[in-house]
Amino acid sequence: MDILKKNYFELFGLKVSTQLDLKDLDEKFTLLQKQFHPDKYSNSSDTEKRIALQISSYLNDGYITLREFVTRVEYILKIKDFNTDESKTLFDEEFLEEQIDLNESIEQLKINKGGNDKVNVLTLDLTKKMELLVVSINDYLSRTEYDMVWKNLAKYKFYRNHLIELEPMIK
Amino acid sequence: MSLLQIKDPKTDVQSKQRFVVGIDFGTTNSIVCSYENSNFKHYEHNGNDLVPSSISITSDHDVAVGSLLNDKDTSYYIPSIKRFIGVDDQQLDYLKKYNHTFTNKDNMLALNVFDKDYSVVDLSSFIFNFLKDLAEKNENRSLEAAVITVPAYFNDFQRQAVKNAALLANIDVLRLINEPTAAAIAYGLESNSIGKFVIYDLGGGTFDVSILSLEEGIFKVLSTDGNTILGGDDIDFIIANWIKDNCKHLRHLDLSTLKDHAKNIKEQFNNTTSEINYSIDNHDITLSKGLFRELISPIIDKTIKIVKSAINESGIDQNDIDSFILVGGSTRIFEIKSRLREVFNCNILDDIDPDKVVAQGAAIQANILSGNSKEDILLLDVLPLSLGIETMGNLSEKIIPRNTAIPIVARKTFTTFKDGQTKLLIHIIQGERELVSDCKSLGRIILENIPPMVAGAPRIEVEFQIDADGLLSVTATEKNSETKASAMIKPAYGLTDSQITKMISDANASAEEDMSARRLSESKVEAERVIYALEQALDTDGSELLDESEYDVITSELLKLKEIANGNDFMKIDNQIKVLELKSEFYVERRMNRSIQSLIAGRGVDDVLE
Repeated sequence: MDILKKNYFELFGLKVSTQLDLKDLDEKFTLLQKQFHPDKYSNSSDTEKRIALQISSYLNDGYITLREFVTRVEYILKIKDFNTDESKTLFDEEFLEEQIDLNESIEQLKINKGGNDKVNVLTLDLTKKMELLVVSINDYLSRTEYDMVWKNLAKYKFYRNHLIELEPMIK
Repeated sequence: MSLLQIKDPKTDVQSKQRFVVGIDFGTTNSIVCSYENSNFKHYEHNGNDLVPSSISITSDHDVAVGSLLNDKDTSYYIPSIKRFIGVDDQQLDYLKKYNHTFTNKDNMLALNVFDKDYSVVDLSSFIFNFLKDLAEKNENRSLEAAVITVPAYFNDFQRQAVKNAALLANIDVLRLINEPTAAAIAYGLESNSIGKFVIYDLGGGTFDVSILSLEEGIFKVLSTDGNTILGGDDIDFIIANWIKDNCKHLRHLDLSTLKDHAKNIKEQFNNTTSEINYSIDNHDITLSKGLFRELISPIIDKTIKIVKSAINESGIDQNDIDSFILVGGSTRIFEIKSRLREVFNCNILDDIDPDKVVAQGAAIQANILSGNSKEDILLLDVLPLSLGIETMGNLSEKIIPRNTAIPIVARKTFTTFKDGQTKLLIHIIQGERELVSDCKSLGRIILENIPPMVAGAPRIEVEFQIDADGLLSVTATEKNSETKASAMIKPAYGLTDSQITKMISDANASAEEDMSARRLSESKVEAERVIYALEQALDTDGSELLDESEYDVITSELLKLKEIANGNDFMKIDNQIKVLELKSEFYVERRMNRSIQSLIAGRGVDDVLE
């Protein structure tokens, strides 16, 4: 089935890029689901039902994958045939030390239940670091240095997880 | 066959309206309803369109449904059968609350009634059968298909059971849809509204919530949550206990009597703003509005907590919620409405009867799916509970997280850990907890006939497909061996198609002749549809997409079907339909491929490839 062989960017008629117009993605997704969702084939032959189910599932997975930055970058690496093996990730000592410090700070904030200012400062700091990582991810991607993309994305995920931990503390 | 759907909509295929219904299979009551020409028709039994989901069985095994036609003293009475769907006979804590003799039949929980075992699916099918008869008698024609609603929080096991029960009652199931989603359809169509909605569904025994976004004909479920043991019954229970604690003259009454009174008191609060005076056995009880509010507040708090978590999960801001849609009899309680307004500061939609709104939404959807309606609505729903497999140490590994849009497929590759290993066991579970024992076991599947290789060499790709009904099927393929054998596997609890067919034919053994007449007419109609659709498609683009020999193959099979369809052998007709479908499969694929190209048109290949 040709449709199922397209990569997700091709599927939605989008340019391969880490930066997507999400509204555009939404529109394409809706347009295609309106055509291929199994509900549109409830009176159809079993063949059509099966194909529609496959396409619709593929559309959903593509949509979920492309919507989020992290999964989108991971997917780009995948279509560039870069082997995204977690074990390849070796962090520099500086980064690891920073992570230990960050974990400690967040634990402290959790125990002290507050220090609203501190939570806000930390959140802002993390957001900035993530923005910088996005820039360097794009940069490495354009130079096809995929192992560096992968490494920076791994860092990005660390910061993102910290942010998720901080979120409930923001009042 | 609806090849036409991927072609120019100006070709109208509308023939006569098919008779389809929506069925709300509820815990307390069930409803069957149709929607035609913008009108709902609720089919009534003894003047009531709420059919109690209860069954009575005599010692001669005569079954009656609904308004209890059998004599209560001599027959066996089973109320609220839906409560037992998805329960297995190991859940003794749950089952011991009920006065039934539980057994096991066809891998399912069963009740022993007068020395005969009835599985939960058997019993539920009695209700479906009754609803089907009710609709057919009213319309004086046979029912062609139905959309059936299930609680959003139902797991795969429970969905499969409901579907099997309907199939056993000879109902062609167009789709299972979630109750809150059905309610949203009913409101969405009525008001043509767009925006973000919370569907708040508080029934007798369960609480369901879904967050939906509605825009130009797309109903997109963003998240869903719920509690299967929270409902109006809990409110009755609290009031009953209050009566017990505060009226010493009534302490001798048993809890179920007190609960009946509590229910009456609760319902009186739907229409009053002051206090309620109520009398039980000549003892007067006074309950003020303020105290009532205080008593039921813990229940409402619990629901609000769940709503907030669902909103959080949906990724939208609480302030972006436009309206609450109220579903379920328990939402008639005025106090609930005012608390929701207070907490969420939004509009409340409650003008459709909360007992009927789900059946109405299902009827609308049935009308759309059957092709009766030209309404351009699409429903995008989500998986309510994460699907996972057991890994080392009794831990659950999630394969498809909850609130993922469905249909969806996930693949996972397994291998062997012993040289020459030929079998592999996969335990499929559903639920959010870390430990396997805290999740619902959907069954164990065994992959057999793995070619013997050194440990770690086989690559067995297992595909978990969730369809638009939210139902799971599993396929396994060994990637390294030459055979690449792949097999459909049904988890142990699900009945296989042939089991279902056997059960249906057993149930209808006496009416076999009727059945074959019906089968013949169904096959003829199907053949007609296939022929018509294919001819239209060939007219449109047959010469363009097919070369001469391909064209000839399809048209000769088409002619064969026309001939056979004039005969009286439904097996032959079915067979030829299959042959035709098989031989035209590539053509269907070509048309679909072409249609996707035209949909994302405006972008050349260069654009797409960076």
